[in-house]
Amino acid sequence: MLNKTLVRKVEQKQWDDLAWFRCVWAEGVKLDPKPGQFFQILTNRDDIFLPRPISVFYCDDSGIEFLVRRRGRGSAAIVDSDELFLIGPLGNWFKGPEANGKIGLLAGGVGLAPLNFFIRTCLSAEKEFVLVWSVRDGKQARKVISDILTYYQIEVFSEDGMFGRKGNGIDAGEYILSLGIGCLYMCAPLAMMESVYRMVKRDRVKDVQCSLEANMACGWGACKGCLTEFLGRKLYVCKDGPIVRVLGDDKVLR
Amino acid sequence: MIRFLDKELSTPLFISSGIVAELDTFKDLSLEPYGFVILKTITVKPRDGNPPPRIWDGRCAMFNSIGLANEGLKTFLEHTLPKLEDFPLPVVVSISPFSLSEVEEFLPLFRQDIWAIELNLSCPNVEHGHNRLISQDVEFSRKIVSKVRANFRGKLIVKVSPEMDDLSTLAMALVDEGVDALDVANTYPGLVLDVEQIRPIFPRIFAGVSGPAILPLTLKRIWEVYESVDVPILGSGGVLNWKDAISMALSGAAVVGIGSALYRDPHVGNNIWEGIKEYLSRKSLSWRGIVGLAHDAVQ
Repeated sequence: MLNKTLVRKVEQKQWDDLAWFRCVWAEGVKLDPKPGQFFQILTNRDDIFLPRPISVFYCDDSGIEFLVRRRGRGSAAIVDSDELFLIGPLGNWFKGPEANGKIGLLAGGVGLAPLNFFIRTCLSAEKEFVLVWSVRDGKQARKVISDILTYYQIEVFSEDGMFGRKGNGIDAGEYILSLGIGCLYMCAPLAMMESVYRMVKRDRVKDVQCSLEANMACGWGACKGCLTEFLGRKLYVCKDGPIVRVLGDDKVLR
Repeated sequence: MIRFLDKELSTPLFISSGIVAELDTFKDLSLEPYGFVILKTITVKPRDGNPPPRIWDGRCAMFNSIGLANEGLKTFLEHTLPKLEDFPLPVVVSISPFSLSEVEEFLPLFRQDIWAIELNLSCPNVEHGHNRLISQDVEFSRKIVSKVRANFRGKLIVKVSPEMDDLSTLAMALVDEGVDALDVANTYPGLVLDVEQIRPIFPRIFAGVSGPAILPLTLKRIWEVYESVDVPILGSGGVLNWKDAISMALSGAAVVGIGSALYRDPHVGNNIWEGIKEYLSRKSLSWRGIVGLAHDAVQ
């Protein structure tokens, strides 16, 4: 049965169009999303009809965190509201990895969110990993890292060259694949993930997991609205994903 | 209990066609506030549906361009139909034949012991010659309905388009052909544009509009059909809360469909049903007593 849970923000930070916020659970309510899962988030605004699918940035016993970019009316309303309704948790989650070696994580922009949640579980399991974050705005990334990402090392590729290495998502992909990783977790624009996937040497990186996004109405497999083509295959993001996994045989798996 | 098409229903609410695409997905919802459900429309052949994007959020509305993505008749008969026996609520099967010859291909379905079939002649996201919807062609609609009626013994519902020059004429024609109830109505064809890219958002240009923005338009059509024919009306389009559902009943709907509101709140049916019960109690009225009641005020 689907949950619809009211949460209140207790802390929010904004860097231009990017916002991070933390909500606390109401008494007697606590959800248990896994890294990679998302919620359909709705505000009290009557003029925004559909909720928006947002991946979990972090979650613990006391609350839940999200990273949201203001892109349109829906995401702006989420950033501007103090109270939010969460429908979910929805979708599948990152697994494994089923490969040896260092874990590679490649984030594009706000795609950092589900990877951050996954890394926090890696930290507790003392697994070795490397995170590369591809961004447009280097200064914004520097502020985000110094304000909320103090738990681990991040290597940044910024398109404007204002922080970290200068380069785009493909440069970031080439770089992470040069680090001898055994598996790759990605959350980035679809075109970037497809390009990076095509550069993967399958005899070295045997477990690739990608987090997809699409416009959705329901988020729970009812509407058939989130059809997306990824690596030549048609997928319903909410039901077949949002995580699609490509193991050694080069097929998109659930 | 609410009597509707010879069935005793626990509530006058139903889940509209197309909202929950697969039978197994209904398990994610509390079905308690609903009297029955209408399954997603099936076509003779499986359909992938339209290219993405398929969904867009409007102001107080949503746009969809799913395009009747469905498993097709054969798979439905083999895999979904046998499961209906165990489904906790009465089920209406929705079909969309595109031609008279396709009606014949549905014969194996018509021979099944099914309570009711909804004939969807009004999906705005598929084409029927000259970009018109079947229900906009009264004579062709008559022929399709006549052929289904001759072959199916259960209850026959027709879902009509709201975009009609004269909905009353169509309603009377369909009732003449033996239709048991009318579902008023489907989504409205609408347009949404990307002003930065300077192009329509949807590859098929137009998409179906649903949600609270269309409620007043739906109420008008229910009102008109109620004035024209005596068969029960299924009200579909724009219900978000109990007042909307009561408005539909007062306009003439015998039962009220919950649709895209479920995407906003999977528990919306519970709230609507609770609100209806409280209203009926406060007014000392029955559901049956309020169906079409607002018409009395203007006689």
